[in-house]
Amino acid sequence: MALEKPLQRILLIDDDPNDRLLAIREVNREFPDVEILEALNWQQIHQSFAADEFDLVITDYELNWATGLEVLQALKAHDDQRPIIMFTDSGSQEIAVKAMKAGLDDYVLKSPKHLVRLAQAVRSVWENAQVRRRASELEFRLQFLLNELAVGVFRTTLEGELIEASDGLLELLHLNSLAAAQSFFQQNLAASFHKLPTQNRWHREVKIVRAKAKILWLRISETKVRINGNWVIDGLVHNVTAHKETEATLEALNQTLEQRVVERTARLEQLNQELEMFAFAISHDLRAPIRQISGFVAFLKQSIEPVTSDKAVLRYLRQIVNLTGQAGRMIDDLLQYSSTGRAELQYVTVDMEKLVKEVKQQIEVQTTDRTIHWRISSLPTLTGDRTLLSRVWQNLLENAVKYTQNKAQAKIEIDYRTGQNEQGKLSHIFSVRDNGIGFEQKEHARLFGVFQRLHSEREFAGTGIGLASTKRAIYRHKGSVWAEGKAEAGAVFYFSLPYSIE
Amino acid sequence: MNFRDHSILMVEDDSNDIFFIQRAFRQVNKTNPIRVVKDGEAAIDYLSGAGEYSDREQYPLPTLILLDLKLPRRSGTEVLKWLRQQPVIKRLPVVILTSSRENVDVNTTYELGISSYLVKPVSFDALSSMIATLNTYWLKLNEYPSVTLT
Repeated sequence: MALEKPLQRILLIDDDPNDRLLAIREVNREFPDVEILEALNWQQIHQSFAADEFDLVITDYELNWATGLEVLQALKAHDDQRPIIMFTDSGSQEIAVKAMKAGLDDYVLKSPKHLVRLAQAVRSVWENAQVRRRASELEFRLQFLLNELAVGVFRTTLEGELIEASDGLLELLHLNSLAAAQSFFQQNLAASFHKLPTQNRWHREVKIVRAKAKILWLRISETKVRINGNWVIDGLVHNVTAHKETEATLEALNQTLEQRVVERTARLEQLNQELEMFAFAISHDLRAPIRQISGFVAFLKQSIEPVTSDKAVLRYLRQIVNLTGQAGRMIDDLLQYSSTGRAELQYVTVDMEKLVKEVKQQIEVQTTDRTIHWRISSLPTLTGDRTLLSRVWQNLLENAVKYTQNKAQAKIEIDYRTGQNEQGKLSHIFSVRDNGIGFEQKEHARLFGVFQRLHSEREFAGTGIGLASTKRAIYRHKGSVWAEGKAEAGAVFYFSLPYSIE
Repeated sequence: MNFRDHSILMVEDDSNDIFFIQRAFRQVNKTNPIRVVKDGEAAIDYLSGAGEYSDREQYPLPTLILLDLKLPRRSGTEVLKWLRQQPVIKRLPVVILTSSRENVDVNTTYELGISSYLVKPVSFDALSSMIATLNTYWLKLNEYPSVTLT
């Protein structure tokens, strides 16, 4: 926004030197800093115009070589916005009127009585000129903005008849006359004007299908305005077709993305299955050779032991026996783990309390030399795959028994409560707590890994697949497993099963 | 029939497994014979008395068939299916002794009619123990049907 331009120089055109002095004196009284330039003939006038260093012109009407009107016209030709004031003699009202019509800003009678008005005339003319200049600048800027933003401006009656349309609007709609715009409005927008909202300002988006099925999307912002006592609607129009197309493209892309996710997931599941089958095939095929090695090693041992006392040989033999045993167990565990994943679930009603007691009985057969205190809470009946659930209990109870083997008084507690799983679904939550060797809570992640062990084979027997199998069995029931423990202070293993299997 | 005459027909193609099983048997039973055929076709020939097996003095009908499933020429399941369609000898008890525990195999064979399904254990000690139990149960305890064709 330009600042108020100060009045700096005035061009004074008058033949009479006394009049000039008087005028200068009058002007300087109000405007002490203003410089007064003088021009006494056409040549000087043209020079001044060329130099163009004046803000305002004061000219006499009666010049020897021209009339004030001619000066006025010359100035208008040079710059039709430059303010100009004219001295007139009394009795030349028509000249004054004529001059005003030709663009004169003000006139002052050249009489001592009226000359005092000069300064005031200069002030008001100059202020008006400033206002006009600012208005003109604003309008220019507005036009510029509207053009840049590709916004069209219009005005309609309350019934939607187009009264005014900016060039921008015509361009936006590819029309070339107001009449064309009016029929456009009537054809495409009239209907919507019948249901005007109750507020004074509103937006709407309108879809217009044009020739050759071309689609145009317009965003129209409108406001009710009272102009000269009449209600009209002033509006702005944006062409948002490109925007809408982008939205549509995004939508399509989103859907493609979703589709791709579905496809990728399916592919991943397929790959997973292939991997499963591969792992199973390998385990299955490896089993026979390992089994047979185990057989020959047994015979080798039977043959060698009686005839050698070579400590090294006997040690090698022992190691081979142990290792083949280990390999065999791992293969069998892996196969069982695989079957936990592959076998089809058969849902039946399972009395968990009865199941736990059966498993406990089987285990107790092998722990007759130990003191184990069992406490089993009341457990519910639920729906699940009996084989898998049996394996889960077997694994958890066997672990509890195993890892309390160094305790004189082993304590194993099996509890039940209802609760919510991670998805907030109502679930059965079972726990097996023991007072055995426990584990470091930070090792939690490794607990359930395939063949992951926290202790060596020598300390506690096992291949480390039990918990992995348990986790898999529970996951297939859409449940989850977790554990809490402290080194040397026992452990609790939890698993949850949702109430309803979906 | 006197249990001393009981004999086993083992249908098994892997020579190592034949070695192990015979050895395990010998550890607990030195009297009852075990005869071996190495493919499904030979098993059917034996049981039907065809070709070289027509001499029933040398190749008597067994009282128990130990059948592996994975066999060349004709699979164990095919042999089983054939057997169950034969008059009289369809009574012969069959115990499957195989490497796999695939649900499909278990169900199919039971459907066709077997007396037991055993999976070869991975440790030899367990195999010995299993064969010892087999010996006690099938060769000493079990009562057998008559399979004479008259």
